[in-house]
Amino acid sequence: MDDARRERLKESLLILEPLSAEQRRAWIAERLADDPELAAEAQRLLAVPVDESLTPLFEPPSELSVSGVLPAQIGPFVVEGLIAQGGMGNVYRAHQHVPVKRRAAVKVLRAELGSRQLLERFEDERQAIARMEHRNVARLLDAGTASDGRSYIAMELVEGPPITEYASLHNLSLRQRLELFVQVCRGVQHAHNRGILHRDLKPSNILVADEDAQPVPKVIDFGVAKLLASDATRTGQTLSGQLLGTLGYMSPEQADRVQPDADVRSDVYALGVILFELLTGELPVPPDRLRGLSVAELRDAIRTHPRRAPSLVWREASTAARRRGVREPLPADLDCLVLKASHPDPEQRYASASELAADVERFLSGRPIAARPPSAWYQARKFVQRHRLPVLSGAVVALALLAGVLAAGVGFRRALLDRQAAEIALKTAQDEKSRADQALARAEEVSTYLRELLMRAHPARLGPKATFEQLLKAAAADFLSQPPANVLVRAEVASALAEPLYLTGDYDNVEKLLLPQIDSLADQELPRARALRTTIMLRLGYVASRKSLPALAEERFARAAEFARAADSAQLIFQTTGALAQTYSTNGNYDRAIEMLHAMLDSEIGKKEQLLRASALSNLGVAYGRKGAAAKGLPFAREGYEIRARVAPKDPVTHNMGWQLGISYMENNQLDDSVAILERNYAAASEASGVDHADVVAGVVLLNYAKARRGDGPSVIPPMREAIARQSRVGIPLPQISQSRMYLAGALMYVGDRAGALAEADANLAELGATVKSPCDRALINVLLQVGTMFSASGAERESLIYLERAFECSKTEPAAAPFAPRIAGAIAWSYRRMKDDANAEKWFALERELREKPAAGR
Amino acid sequence: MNIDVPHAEPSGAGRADTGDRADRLITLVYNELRALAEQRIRTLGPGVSIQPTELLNEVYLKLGKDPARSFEGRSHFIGAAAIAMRNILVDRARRASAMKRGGDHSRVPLEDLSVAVDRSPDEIVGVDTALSKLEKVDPRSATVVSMRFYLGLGFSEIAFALGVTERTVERDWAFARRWLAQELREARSGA
Repeated sequence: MDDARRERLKESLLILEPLSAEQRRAWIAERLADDPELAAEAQRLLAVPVDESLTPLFEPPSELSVSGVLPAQIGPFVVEGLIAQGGMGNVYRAHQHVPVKRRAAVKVLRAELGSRQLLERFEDERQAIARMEHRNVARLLDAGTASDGRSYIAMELVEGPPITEYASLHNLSLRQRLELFVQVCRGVQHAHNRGILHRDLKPSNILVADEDAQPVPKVIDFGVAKLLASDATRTGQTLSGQLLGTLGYMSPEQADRVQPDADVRSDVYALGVILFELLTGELPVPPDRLRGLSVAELRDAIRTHPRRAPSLVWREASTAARRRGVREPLPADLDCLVLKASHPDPEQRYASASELAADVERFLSGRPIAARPPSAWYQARKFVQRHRLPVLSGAVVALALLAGVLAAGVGFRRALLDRQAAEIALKTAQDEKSRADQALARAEEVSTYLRELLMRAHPARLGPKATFEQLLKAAAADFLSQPPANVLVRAEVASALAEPLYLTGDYDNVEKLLLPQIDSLADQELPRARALRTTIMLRLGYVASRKSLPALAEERFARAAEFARAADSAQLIFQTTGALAQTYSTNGNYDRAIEMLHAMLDSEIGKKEQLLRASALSNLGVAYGRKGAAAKGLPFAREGYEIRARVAPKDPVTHNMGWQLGISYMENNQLDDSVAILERNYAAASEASGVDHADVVAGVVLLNYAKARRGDGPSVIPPMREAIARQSRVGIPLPQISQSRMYLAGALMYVGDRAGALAEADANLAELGATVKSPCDRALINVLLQVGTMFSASGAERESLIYLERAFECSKTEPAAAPFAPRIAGAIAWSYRRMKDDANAEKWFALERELREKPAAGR
Repeated sequence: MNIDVPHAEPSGAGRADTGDRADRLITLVYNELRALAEQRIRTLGPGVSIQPTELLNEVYLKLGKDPARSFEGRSHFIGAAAIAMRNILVDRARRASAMKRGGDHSRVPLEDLSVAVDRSPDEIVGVDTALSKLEKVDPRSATVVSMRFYLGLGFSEIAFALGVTERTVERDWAFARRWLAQELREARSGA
């Protein structure tokens, strides 16, 4: 009999000893059914009469008593024996007769720990703890000061081993372990609902008692850790020795000695670790790794220790760990769940114990779990944080590159799931399975190819100072010289490489990678091929629009929309239509854009998929705003932002909608609302993406411009200048800086610095003009129009005309600028109206109407 | 309750993990016990009964002057004392049985120490033999038994000495007690 089975036998004997013969038989039949040999052994041993030959030879030597003399009484409790002894004090088994008969575990704090003040501080929390009433939480019975002046805490006595020990002793199956664990989560949630954190969850604080032959886990010592820790901190006492057993379960944020921090998610972390241990028999961060570290190193050590999938740990477990973990192989499905619960970053964990419990229950009932592999975005962000790359250029590339590789990984996972599904549904055609097999093989090939590509582009080859951009270009060159033979693999890899290249602005390479794929995918019938063709065309459309080729962009988006219909994917159709509508909106074809966006909102997926709907709403707000119907656009912008802020408050896209909503308010002259939303959005965006993020820096400019319009005065100017300086420092593309400088010019005008405003506007136009091909470039017209509008509204009507008329001239000669003509004419009319030049105003208003009724040709 | 239990439980009463040091401690305790007993006989004269508990306490107090009167020191002492006491009692019981069968008288017979044990020498030898077998099957259970049987320690003290939970000790005891009972019965019926 191996050790694990013998320990199980021992535990069984201990439980069986006080039972009657009949109860014993029933218990054995029920609980040892899986191990007949062990059941027989238990029966055999229990049949032997125990004689007195083993009663102790002597009375114990009283002075030798290692635990010291047992106190007879602690407060109202009569002491029966010692349960445990530790640095914090002793724990006694005790009972009480009056006023109620009950048994208790009484913890007496060491004299130097248990002071009166300590208990006073504990008092508030004690009352909350005492009110807890849950089957899975040991109740706090009493706390007070014993006659010798030491403080004590009395808790419901739980007779049973720690949860991990219980699970291995009773050889619990995966399901049984998870069911126990769910109960633990429920108990913890009960406490959290009352505002009580445990702060020291670990197996030795979760004891499993047998109640009516049912195992009932009970969490003990709720809130006690805080009491003791706060005191230890106060007395400057080091906890290092005692902490060791606890460290393996402690969240990184709690291990921070400078700013220890704990919330419900810290308890969730500990639960995650306990679950990990229940399943694998090992801890995600072995305590050995933390031994001997200074407290300063501790937090980082816990946070950065590489986390391994439980299913992998289980497979490679030592024999000792095998005995503690589950017997049956651990399904990989649980990996995400366990890793999410014990994630080093609190943001990535389950937000509550009940969410964790719910996901475990979903798993138990065979429903898909909510935990997902960490998003590519998150992984990339972590990567960037770890390597502290220069914020913009390099990081964005690194991030997108990783996103590409990871996306291939996700595809791999999906293929795997597809194959599993196909296996289950064997009765459906055999070719389903072979198709899924092909998908899996392809995903494997893509991921291998990408990995090799990146290895080849290793810094060793490119030199130690290679940037990610170089690395990426090298990978692209490698790909182009030696593309994979399989059409689909080729397209997948090209698409994965194109994504980050697009972000670096290397549009030529993106086209080189992607254009050939469109043709080679043309006759592919697989659903994946059709989807790929769509996303590739979509990307090509964005390239065209970035290259300021609006006609080409429109054409590509239109083709992408066609492909999406062929792929029969509602989501792709929605995305491509959205892109097309956005191009119309940028190109000045507002009515068309508005019409499409309304149709999208009315579509089935637009009603159902909240995130997609939010994008369409926000874009609709923008389109109305651009058309000059700001009042009509505002409700859409607001609704879109609100949906998004509810569903994904920390997502960069949400923040973009926030900026947009601020602009909408401004367009409607609701300046207080605008400042309010922009401030709120700035707080959220800077917290999520950091104050150095390009969008956040641009947001500072926007916010201060709104304040200038509201009449906040010259104090708004310095932060704007600082933000713009930062934008140029980190290499933001010129058109975006130009946009910011335009706001600066506007703000200067509003605060009364007319000369400064004009100088800023001219300098901006000159700088931008030097980089564009035509004097009527769209970016330039955009600046002219907006500067003109701002100046006009701020009282510099005459100056505004200079810019607006220049823009209008362009709209007559440059086809791409033609759609802007009505808007420019309208702005000019308003300037004249403000100057009380009614004749000219009427003339321009008439022109505006005429231009609107005669939409730009070909659209 | 808030006490950290080491993840891996040590096997045996501070023997496996401390090696040499424990052996020296056992010898030390053993020698001290004997020397003390002999000194008692010299001063009090033969025939005076000494409680083993008292002996043990004296030894403990004497060794306890040691600076290592810490958790480690104490738990090692208990482990060593259990073994030393077992050796003394079993030696004496063996000799007593041998004498009954006409053994030699060359050494000071230990029963002269008059350690008050009201168990027959055969019983003590029987338990020792069975315990030696249990040591091979489950060393920690055997240690629990010797601490309880030879020193009369309670579960919590044994748990403390072994650095395990009390529940673990109870579990070991529940098993060892049944296992030894069966072993002793078989030995008796075999003899």
